[in-house]
Amino acid sequence: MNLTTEKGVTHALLAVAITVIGFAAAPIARAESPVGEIQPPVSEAEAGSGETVEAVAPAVLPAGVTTAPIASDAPPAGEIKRPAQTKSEIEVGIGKTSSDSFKFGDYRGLESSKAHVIANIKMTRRGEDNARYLEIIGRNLGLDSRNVRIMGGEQGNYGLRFEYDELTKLRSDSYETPYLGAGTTILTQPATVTDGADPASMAGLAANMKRFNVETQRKAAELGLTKQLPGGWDVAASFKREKKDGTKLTGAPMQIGTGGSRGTMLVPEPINYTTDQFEVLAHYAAEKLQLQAGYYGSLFSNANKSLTWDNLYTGSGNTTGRLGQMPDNQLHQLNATGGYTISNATRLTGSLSFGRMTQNEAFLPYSTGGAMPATTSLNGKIDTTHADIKLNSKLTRDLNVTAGYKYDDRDNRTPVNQYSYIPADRDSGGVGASNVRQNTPLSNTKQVAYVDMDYHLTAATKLKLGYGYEKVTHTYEPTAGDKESTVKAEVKHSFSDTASAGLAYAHSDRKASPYVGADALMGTYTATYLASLCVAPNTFLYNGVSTACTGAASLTSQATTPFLDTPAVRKFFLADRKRDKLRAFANIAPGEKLDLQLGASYYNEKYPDTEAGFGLAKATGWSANLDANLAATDTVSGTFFTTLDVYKTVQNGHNGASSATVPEITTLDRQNNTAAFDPLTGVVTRNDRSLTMGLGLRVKPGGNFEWGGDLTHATTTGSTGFSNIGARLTTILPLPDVVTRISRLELFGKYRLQKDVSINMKYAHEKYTSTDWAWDGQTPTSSTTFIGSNQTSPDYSINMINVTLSYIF
Amino acid sequence: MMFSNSGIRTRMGIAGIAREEAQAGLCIGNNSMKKLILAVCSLVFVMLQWSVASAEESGFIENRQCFGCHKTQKQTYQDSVHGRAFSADAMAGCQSCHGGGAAHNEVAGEDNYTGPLKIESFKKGSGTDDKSRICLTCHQKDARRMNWMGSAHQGSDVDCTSCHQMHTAQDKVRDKRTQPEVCYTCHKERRAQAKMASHHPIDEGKVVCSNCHNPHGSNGPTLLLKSTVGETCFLCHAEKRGPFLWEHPPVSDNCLNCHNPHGTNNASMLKTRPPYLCAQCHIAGGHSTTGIRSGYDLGAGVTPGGAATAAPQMAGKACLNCHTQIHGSNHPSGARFVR
Repeated sequence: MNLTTEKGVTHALLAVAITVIGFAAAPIARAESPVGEIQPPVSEAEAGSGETVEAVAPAVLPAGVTTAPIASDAPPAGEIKRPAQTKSEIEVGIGKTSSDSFKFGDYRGLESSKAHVIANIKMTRRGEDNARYLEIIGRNLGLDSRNVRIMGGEQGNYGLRFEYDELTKLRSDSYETPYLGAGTTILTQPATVTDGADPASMAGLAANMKRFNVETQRKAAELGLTKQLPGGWDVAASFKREKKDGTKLTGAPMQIGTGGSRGTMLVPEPINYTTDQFEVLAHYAAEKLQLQAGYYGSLFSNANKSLTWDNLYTGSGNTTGRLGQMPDNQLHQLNATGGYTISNATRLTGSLSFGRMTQNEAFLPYSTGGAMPATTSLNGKIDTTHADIKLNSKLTRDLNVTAGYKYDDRDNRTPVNQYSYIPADRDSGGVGASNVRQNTPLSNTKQVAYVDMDYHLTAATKLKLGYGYEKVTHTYEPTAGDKESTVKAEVKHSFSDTASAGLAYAHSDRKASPYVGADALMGTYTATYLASLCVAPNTFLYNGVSTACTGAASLTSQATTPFLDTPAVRKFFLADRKRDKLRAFANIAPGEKLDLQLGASYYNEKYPDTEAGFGLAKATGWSANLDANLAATDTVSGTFFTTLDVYKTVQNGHNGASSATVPEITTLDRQNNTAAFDPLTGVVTRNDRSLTMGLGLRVKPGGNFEWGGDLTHATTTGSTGFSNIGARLTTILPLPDVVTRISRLELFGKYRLQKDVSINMKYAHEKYTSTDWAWDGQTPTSSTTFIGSNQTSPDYSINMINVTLSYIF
Repeated sequence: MMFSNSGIRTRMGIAGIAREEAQAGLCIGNNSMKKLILAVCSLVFVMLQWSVASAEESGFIENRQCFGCHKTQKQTYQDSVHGRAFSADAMAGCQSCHGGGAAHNEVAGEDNYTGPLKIESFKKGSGTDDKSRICLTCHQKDARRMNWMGSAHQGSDVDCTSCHQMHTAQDKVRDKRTQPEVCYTCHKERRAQAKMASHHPIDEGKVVCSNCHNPHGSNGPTLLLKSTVGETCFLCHAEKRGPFLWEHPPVSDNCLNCHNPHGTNNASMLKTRPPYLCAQCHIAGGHSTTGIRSGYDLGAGVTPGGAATAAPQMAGKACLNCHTQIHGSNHPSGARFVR
């Protein structure tokens, strides 16, 4: 450009004018930035093409458009430009408890009073100019409750995940056993313990009771990977292996003499489980359509097949007893899930799965010295099917509707065979008619249809209405199935910005098909045996065939139809039921600093048929809670909560099969639940209630020191009451309550030594007391047919102190 | 053509664009051609500025302008899970969720401003009613969140930020140690049950709510991970899956017939304790006839006036002292679960 000529100057002025106009029209925005598009960090090094990035000078901005407000405490421009780095933290220290306690250490790994290492780490690393990441999280590395997780990969491309976890369950450190080999699959009787007709006559028993800690530990390792593929696809695979080792208490029934008497004791059963889980998934995601298909496999194996113990009772001829441990089993499942957004207001989802559970462990013999069954293994097979579909639609601005259907089928295809079993390894006396049984592979089908509606009556009031219908069918049960309808309604209202409340109610009505308790017997007992339970010359239908009763009538034996469970019993999960649930809540903020939450719920289940018969007649429960959060000042905050929870059941029972005492009570009276049976009946009421409370304080003055504390308390009480006791039941005595109390005070403080280094201290005092009539006061010889283990319900009072250093890097 | 709308997405910057356009304005040739070129270049330049102006009208600004006031959020965002996907310094980071910041930028710096924030803040009571839709733009495509619409939480106006914290390295609900307290915000009964005598290690941070439930929606009952209660329980208790030779009907039906997995006063999280639990279904002849066991059956050593000896149906594990394989037995002699 030649600025020496008039034209050159004109052209130059034009160029300047155009430039000024251009800048006037251009805002600060450097580029369009749609959501989801990643823009690289802005820095001189990354401008590319040798171009430098210049800060936008306010002078060129048009009037009315300002730059970003520069707050008085804004960091220098250089700091804003520097790429952000993630923070990591490591914490190391030592802790100690004042005494050993299984109960205190349960799940936590803190059962020993020896000093323990505290080690936690959270490390996060990100690529500076890419989407790679690595996270390592380790918790409780010094305890048996340790957990380690490592995740890494490239976001949007692939991911790898590894996790290792340990969990201990400490069941009892007061259990005692006389057996040698505790913790193995063979429990042997010490030579210094002699057999006896009852525990009191087992010489040497008390002296040989030895403490044995009953506990299990789970160790699980999981590896997973994901990979994004083109076209909206991604694949994922994972494998998890969990090993569970240790012992749990199991009953060891043993024969007494040659008749029908049995004794028992609790023994440690060795646990050596391995569970492998596999999962492979393929997932497709687009704006409207998402699909996922996968395979899930679960393989359970038990290294132990049985548990054998020496019989401590005399006169049986059996020297040992043996039970079968949980058999290996497998599950393989194919599944698919999908979702389709039909429009901005409507979405359809559904899923489908087909599974097969199998088990074919070799059978044990009928008894330790007995024969094998004709079939050597179960060849068990259960096919499961699940299907569901759900449509959700916002029909109008204020109305949202969801409707759906679910189908679940459990098709048990295990073969049916007959078994002549020997009870409690009693090898003498042969197999009675009552011990010839067929197995009954249980199948069921459940279908659920539902519709829910949410409606905003006003901006502040929301109404919910819903209806559900469930239909169940099953096999080998006293009923063929049942149908249940549920209606529910809920209203929520916001009174103001600081107050809201709600109320919800649901009613369910379940109707079962006619209940015939004896129907369940027909599939498993022989006609010969059932016929012996009723007196001639009556007849009954055995799987549709008229069969003559063969029992001999007597003063008390007069039943006209076979039964084992009292015919008027109604198993609650199969019977008619009416259920009501009510829930209310209120959230109030009386001031800027205080938040209150109140809530209450109540439910009531009634079993109409049982009220006139036997079994669970009613179950009710209610709870109430109060929560308060107080932000007293900018540095001090507190919380308080309390919950009262009550669960109560009422069940009708009876205490005798029949009685020859005049007036006689016969099996016919029991069969028909006549008034004559009343003197043997009674009602048991169980009441479990708990009160929990908590108080918390946090003080953050803003300097280098912050501290706080928590106080929690929980009391749970279980009571058993008896009422409407029949005239013949004169030996009903009260039961003491089962009570558990736990209180915990925790104080903690954190002091920042330097910008990145802090010292943390925590002190905790925890006290636990419990009583349980099933254990407390029971000795090895308290019962003639139950050899006690000297176990007691746990108590402890523990002080714990932890001191750690944490470093942020 | 030297310039196109795609140039908006380059990293040239306004200064770079202005420089290029300024260079265009200096295109000089013969008179008519010069005028034509000048006119075309000028027209293109102005059109480009309008395109750039459209970027402003779309409402997006430089991310670093957010950090002028929100500098703490830069670090907390970088530390968060989202920081993996979008670096805090990237253009998309803040505005991907909060929306374009231009309008907010205009008003937020004004002294004593009390009007609308003009940006999605995700604070309770502010912003759009259905805040979850912003998150679902990306996350609904995830298989674990496919069932969100129409789920129990969605229908109860629980949105993503009711449970999740974005600007933190430690999103409480995604950490097993602190997840329960987030869920207890609404589910108070579970807080009480987790402190009962027998409970899963929920408060201990080992087996927490998300080990059994998918709060984002599921095809099972009560937001369970799997289609049925049993399938969910067998994830950790596979030894009870069977099939067994001798099945116990309430077990095959539903674990919740007998157990409450959130916690109870009774051993093994049973809803009520044996022998009473068993007597709800079994009142047969012989020893199990006695559904009304009382203090008498604890024996005189425990209860004054009690029986001479304790009954095995009451002491220890009660019915389970003998009927030990209660979840099912595969022993040929296990028809009554004693083997």
